[in-house]
Amino acid sequence: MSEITMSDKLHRTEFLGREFLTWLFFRSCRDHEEIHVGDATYVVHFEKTMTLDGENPATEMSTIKVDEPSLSDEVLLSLKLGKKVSRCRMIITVDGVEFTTGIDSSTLAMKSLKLPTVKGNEFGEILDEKMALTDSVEEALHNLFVQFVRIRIDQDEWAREADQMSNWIDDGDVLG
Amino acid sequence: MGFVNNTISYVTYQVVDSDLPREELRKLILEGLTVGRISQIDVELGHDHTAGFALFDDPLSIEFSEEAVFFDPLVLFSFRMDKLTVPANTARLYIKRRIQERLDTTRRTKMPREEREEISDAVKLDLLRRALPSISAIDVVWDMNSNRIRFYSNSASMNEEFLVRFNQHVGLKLRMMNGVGILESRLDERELEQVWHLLPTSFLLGGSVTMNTRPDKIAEECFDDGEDEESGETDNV
Repeated sequence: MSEITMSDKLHRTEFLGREFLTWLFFRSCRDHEEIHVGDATYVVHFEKTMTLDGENPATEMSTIKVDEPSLSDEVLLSLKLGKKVSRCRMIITVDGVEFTTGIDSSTLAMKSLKLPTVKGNEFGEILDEKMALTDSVEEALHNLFVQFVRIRIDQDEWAREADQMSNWIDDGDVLG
Repeated sequence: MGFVNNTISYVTYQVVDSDLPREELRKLILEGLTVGRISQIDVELGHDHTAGFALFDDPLSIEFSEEAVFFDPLVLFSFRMDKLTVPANTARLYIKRRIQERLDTTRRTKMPREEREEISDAVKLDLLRRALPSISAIDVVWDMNSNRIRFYSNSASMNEEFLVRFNQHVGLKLRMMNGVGILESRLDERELEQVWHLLPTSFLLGGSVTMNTRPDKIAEECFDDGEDEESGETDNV
């Protein structure tokens, strides 16, 4: 079998980031923001702004600014129209520490990640503390993504999960 | 929004295929940073920008030393890009004046296009020589324990330039920790093979449907030349 090139891998998986953020939004709404990955529990709260794309982002993109995306009719309507979350802001709580960050589905890179105030005074202490904080939130995001992908590649599990996501979107009452 | 700020934006890279002993790695890093340090913009060669490595706490300095770079297990430096620009309106006024001077001294009222372009290039070069570069310095933090590098900018052009210089001067391969990078570092071969063959799911109209093809291929297929080709891809819903 010929080896898949990096550009081919990126091309083949470019939809996964949007499906991941949509799934994360679904799990956050369904599970009252508590998401379990192995022994860890992350609290994920979506806030302030959310961009949802259709299959052609150039013509089907909605950026919705709202305090609570989970309570927004516009967000729900966009999901009903088949759009998926492509950019969002969220608060992730890891071991009781809150991090606010923007996530872009195309790279999963953190944008404007707000770290808690560090306590150290010396440069070395500040350095270590900042690294540990950044490591912990990055690890949490990677764990969530890997958990999603493991569900995604499991035929039965994804069938159940996708059905629940569809029901969640379908049952939501726009302007209700 | 660099490393020292409370609000940060960054891209993570994994150093791949590097199992060098710590001392050798340190030597390689210090040499790479020194060789790849930022240099002056060579305007005479037609360049309007330059990029390279500089010190973390003083990006104007390029005097690399063990003490300035290594904070075991971290390596700190900055990636600097200097760019010369001349505002278009400023250039236009100087070009206009130079053309008028040439016309006056040669007692002409018109000038061929080639000559105008020649004057324009000369004026721009002259202005670039007198311009001060705008300096962007991006913090870079390399954890030698995890072999991860954080580049504190999301700018695609800065990231590309950094990758080129890093590969050229430090000589190690970096893998961006985007979706593919995360999966390649965490999943086994069998799982990855499944991932490469996934197809998107649509949740449109109250049902989950696996799309038979990737969205970007739909347009191509609308203009199919008639050959019926099986993709061989399967999905699991």
